[in-house]
Amino acid sequence: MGAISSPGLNTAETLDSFRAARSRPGHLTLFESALDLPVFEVTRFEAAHPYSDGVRTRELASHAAREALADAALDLAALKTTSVGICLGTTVASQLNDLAFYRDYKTIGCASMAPVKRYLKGNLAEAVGAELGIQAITATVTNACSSGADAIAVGAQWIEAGLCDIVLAGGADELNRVPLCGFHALGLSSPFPCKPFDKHRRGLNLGEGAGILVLESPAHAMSRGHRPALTLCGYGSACDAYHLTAPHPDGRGLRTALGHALELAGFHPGDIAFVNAHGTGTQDNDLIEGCTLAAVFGPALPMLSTKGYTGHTLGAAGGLEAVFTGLALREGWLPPGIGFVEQDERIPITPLREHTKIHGRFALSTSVGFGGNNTALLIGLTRGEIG
Amino acid sequence: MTAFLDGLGIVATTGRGLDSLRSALQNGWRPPVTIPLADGRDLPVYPLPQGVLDDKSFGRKVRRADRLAKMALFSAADALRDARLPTTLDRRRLGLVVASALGSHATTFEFLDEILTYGDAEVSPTIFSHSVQNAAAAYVASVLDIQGPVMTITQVHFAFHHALVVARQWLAAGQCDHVLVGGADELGSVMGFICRSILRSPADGKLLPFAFAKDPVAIPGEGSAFFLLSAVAQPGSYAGMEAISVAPWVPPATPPGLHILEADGTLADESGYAVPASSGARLAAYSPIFGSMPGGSPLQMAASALMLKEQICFATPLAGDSELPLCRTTASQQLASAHLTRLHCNGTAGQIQLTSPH
Repeated sequence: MGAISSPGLNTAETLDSFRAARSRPGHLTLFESALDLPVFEVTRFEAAHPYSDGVRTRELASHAAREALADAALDLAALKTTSVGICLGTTVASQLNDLAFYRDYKTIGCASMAPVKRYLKGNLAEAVGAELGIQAITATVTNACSSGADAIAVGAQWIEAGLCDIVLAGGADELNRVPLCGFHALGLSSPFPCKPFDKHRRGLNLGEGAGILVLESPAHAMSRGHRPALTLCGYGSACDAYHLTAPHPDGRGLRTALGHALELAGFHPGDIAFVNAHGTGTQDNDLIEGCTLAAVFGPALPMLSTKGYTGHTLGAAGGLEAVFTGLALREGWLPPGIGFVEQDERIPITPLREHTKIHGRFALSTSVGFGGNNTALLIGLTRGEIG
Repeated sequence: MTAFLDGLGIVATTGRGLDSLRSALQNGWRPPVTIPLADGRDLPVYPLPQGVLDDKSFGRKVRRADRLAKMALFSAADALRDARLPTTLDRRRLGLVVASALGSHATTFEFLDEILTYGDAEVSPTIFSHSVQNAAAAYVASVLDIQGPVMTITQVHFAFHHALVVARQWLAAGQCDHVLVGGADELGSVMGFICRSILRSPADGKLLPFAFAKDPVAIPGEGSAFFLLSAVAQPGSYAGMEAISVAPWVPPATPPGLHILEADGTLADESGYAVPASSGARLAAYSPIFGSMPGGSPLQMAASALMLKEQICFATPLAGDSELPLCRTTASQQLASAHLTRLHCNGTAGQIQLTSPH
C-alpha cells in the first residue's frame, strides 16, 4: 500500500497523524484563487516537475505507487517479467483544463500546444507506467469521486480474469482551480474545516493525494514466497440512476453496492468490524450514507470518515481510503473521525470520537460519487496477521 | 467467454440509427464539410448532421444535457431498444460502461470561460457538474434506469477496448446479465482549433488509411455508438465478441473474414499499420466514412457488427489502386468473422475479434 495526502507523505507519516488525531487544513498556496476556502494540500512534496495541469497528479500517483511496490516487496526489475496492470482513478488528470491555454485561445486566437500535448500524453495510468518503466495494461477510470475505488475493483477483475498477475490500482488527484470553483458554485464547499456526519456540517474541503494498492494473484504471491497481510475479499458497485449530483434519497445504489460486496465475499453484515465511510461533510451525502450504513449494519457499527484528515481528494479518495482501511486492519486500531462533535438526530449512527481497537478482521470502505456511483470495497486481514 | 452484441445504436456523421449507417456504408466516401475556426482558418470535418440531437422524446430529464451526453444517451437508448429485452428486466443487473478519448472537453472549456469571465466565485454550477467526465454516463443511467455498475473510462488510447474488457468481465463474473457499453467523442470549437494546430488536413478531403504514412492526414469526426452486450445470445444478435486485447500486435489466430484497420490519421506516424495489413486477410477501413477519432473504435465496431449480422461486406471507401487485398465491392456474402485493429505509437494494438451469429 502506498499513500500520500495531507496527513503524510507515506503510510508511516499518515499513521503518525492518525495517532495524534492531527489535521492540517490550511489556506491555498498551490495556485491563486479569489476563493478563500480551507484546503488540504500535500506540503513538503518535492515534485520532479513544475506544477501544471496533470503533472502533479502524475507525481502524486508515482510517489504512492513506489511506496506500494516497496511495501509489497516488489522491485521494478521483477515486474519486467510479470504481467502487470495499472488501473487508476482520477478526475483532474483526465481533463484538458489549462486556464492559460484557454485564455490565450480566447483572447488572441492562438495558444501554445504544449499543454495539449502534455494532456494527450498524460493518460494517468499510462504515464505512471512510463514513469516507473513498467510495460503494463493501463486504464484510467473517471467515475468522479468513486474513481479510485472503482479502479481497484477493475484491477481485481483483471486478476480474476487472468489478464494480470499484479495490478497497481487506486486513485490520484491534485488540488485544482476547476473543482475548487465548481464545488463552491454547487454550494458544497465549507468555509470551515469539514465536519463529516456532524449536525452542523457545512460541506466539504478539497484535498489532494494518491492512494495505491498492489493487488497480486494468489498464485503469483505464492510463487515468490510472499504472504500478503491483506486480501481484497469483495467489491460491489451500483448506480442510483437518480440524479447528476444528488444521491438517491433511500441510498438505493449504496445499499446494493454493499450487498454485492458482502455477497461476493460470502459474508454477512455482522462480519464487518468497521466501515471507512465516504463521509464528505455535505448535508446530503452524510445523511444518506449514515442512514444506509445504519440500516445495513445497525447503529452500533464502528464507523468513521477520514475526510477530516485529508479533505475530499476526489478521484484519489477511494484509493486513499482503501489504504487507510487496510492500515487500520493491519494496525488493529482506528483513529477518531475528526470534525464530528454533535450528533445529527436524523443520522442513526455515530462516527468514532476516539482511538478504537478493532474487533474483527474485515472492513468496508465506501465511495459515493457524482452521477450516482456507489462502490464498496471489502478488505480483510489475512489470518494470523492481527496487529 | 464469448459475449454477444444484441443491440446497436449509433449517432455519427452518418446520422442516427442503423438505416443511416447502412446507407452511408453503401454510398461510400463523401467529402467532409468545412467549418471556419475562431482564428480565421478553415477545418475540414465530419460532424454530426444538423438537428440529429434535437430529439425531445426524453423530456425534461435531458434539457440541460450537453452535446456529449446527448450523443451517448441517444445511441445507448437506441441500442437498448434494438435489443428488445423484456420489460421485466432486473435493472440492478444491467450495467453501463462509457468510453471516451477526450471526454466532455467542450463543457470543460465552457467552464474555463466562466472562470475567466465571471471569476472564481461566480461560475455556473450546472456547467461544472456537466464538465465532470462521468456526466454522460449519469444521464444514460438515470434516463434508462440502469441500477447496476456504471463506469466511465476516459483516455486517449483504447478507452473503448478497456470498456469492453470491463463489460465482459461483469458478465463473466455474473455481476450483470447485460451491459450497455459504448463510446462517445465530440468535436467542439476549441478542439477544432487544436486539431487544426496539431493534425495535417488533406487538401482533397480524403483520408488514406492504406497509405501507412509517416506523416498522415486527418479529418476530425465525432460520434457515439453503443452495444447491448449479453452473456447469452438473444434472438437477432449481431455478433459474438470472442476476444479483446490491448497488447503488442499479434496476427489473429485464424485469418478473419475481414480485417478492419482503424488507421485514421490520428497517430503521428501510421506506418505501423503496414504490419497488420500484411497478415493476408481481406482488408477494409471505414475511417473515410466516420472521420478521424482517437475514440473511433465504437463506430468501426458498429460497422463490423452490421456486416456480420446482415452478411454483407461494404466496399472500402477510397480503395484506390492499392495492391492490398481490399474489400472493393459492396456485396452480400458469407462473413464468418471480423477483426478490428487500432494502433498506438508505442507499439500497442487494440484488437477486437467478432464472429457471425449465423
